[in-house]
Amino acid sequence: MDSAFETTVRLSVLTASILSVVGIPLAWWITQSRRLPGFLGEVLVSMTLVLPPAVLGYFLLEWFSPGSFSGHLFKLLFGHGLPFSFSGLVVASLLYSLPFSVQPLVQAFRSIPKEYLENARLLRMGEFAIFVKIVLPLSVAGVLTAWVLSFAHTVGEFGVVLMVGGNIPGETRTLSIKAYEDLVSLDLTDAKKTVAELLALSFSCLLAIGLINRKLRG
Amino acid sequence: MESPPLPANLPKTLVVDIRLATGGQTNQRGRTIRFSLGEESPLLVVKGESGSGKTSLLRVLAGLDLPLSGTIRLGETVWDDPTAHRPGRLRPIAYLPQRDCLYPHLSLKNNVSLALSGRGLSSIKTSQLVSEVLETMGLSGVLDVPVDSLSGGQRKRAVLARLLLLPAEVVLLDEPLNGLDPKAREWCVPFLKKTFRERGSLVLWVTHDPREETLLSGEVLDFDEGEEPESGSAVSLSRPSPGKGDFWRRLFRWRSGRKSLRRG
Repeated sequence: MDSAFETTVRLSVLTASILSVVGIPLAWWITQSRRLPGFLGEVLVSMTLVLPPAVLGYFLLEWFSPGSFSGHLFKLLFGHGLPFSFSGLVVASLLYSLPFSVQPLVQAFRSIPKEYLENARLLRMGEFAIFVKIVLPLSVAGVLTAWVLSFAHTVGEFGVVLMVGGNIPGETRTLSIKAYEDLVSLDLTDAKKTVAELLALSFSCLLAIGLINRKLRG
Repeated sequence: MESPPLPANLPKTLVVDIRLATGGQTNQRGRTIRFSLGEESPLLVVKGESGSGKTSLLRVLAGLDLPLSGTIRLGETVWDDPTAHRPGRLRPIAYLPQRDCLYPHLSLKNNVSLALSGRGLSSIKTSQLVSEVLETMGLSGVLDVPVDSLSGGQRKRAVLARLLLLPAEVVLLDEPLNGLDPKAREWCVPFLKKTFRERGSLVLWVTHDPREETLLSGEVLDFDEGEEPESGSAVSLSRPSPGKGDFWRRLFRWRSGRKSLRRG
């Protein structure tokens, strides 16, 4: 197992898992908010779907830069600067893959009949109990799909990863960047292997989504 | 069957004097609804054609929607008036909607026990109360069965069982016997009437079955009689359009509307 594969899987698992923790309450708030802030929240979350990765990368580098207040804060938090580090890559991936986690969750939450929630409230169940006992179990397929989609999206990242992480072997070199580097250096044997690894990861993700939908959504 | 504890100061009077939006989103109308329920007449049979507003009335009483205008009071407690709205979860009601709302990921027993959640009962007591009520409703053989595998009649009896576990001063039943076979209906009507009478509950019972109406023999609110529903926008019937000064308030109340609420 080469280090690019390991870095990619580590980054993708971390990103997808953190996004599940952050995305579930965020998606629930978006689903429940009928006011303008909820709608704006949904638009902001989806921004990175249409934003060119270079633009996001630029803003992140500004944000991470050692001279800025946030840069100081990150240094205190992580013990080192975020540009060209694995931690920086994780933060960048979290922002870049956020809509791929939140959107399936929002869809899953919205597909719960509103009568179920009304009825639960009239049964005097608390909001937390409703979320844990009713909403989450009815959204298992959505939660798993969100995890797999954000994993797959992180695997395929290129622009943001290159700008924020650079290309440090064993630290920030992911499979996408390795494939690009193998190709430009005309190392076709390695390029084939890297591309095959990416293909296998992407295929596994689609297979997982298909199985989740088949098994849980019937 | 042990009845849930109710406040000691029963009976109270439910006074309803409202304008109600009927006809759904596309053909919205308003009509005046006035009645009171009390010790003398604790049961009101609500009948009328589909779309006449029976379910809308129950949803307003359950605190899920708002009336266009007017007042709803139970005793001294105001549920709705032009300045106040008491959410459904704070009203002492038990509401049985037309859609049975059994949660498909839970067993029958767990579905029914949701009515006891948040009351601080031990799991043994909860289990005992649930078993008792399910036995009364003839469902003791299917306690651990997923609700999706129950028949229509069993599902209806399950939601009735769940309803009976709620301590309620006002019971709102939207066609509660739909899906039950004639024999079960004949048993259910006197059983439910007796149970609610013993508990001192005030009951609104929506039906369009004349036999059921005869069996119930209560006061009748007929949506097909009386005032011709008034055409027009529900919002314009309730209040004048807000002025420019309300722009920001309206912006942040976007989609919240007065008619439809998220929380009961």
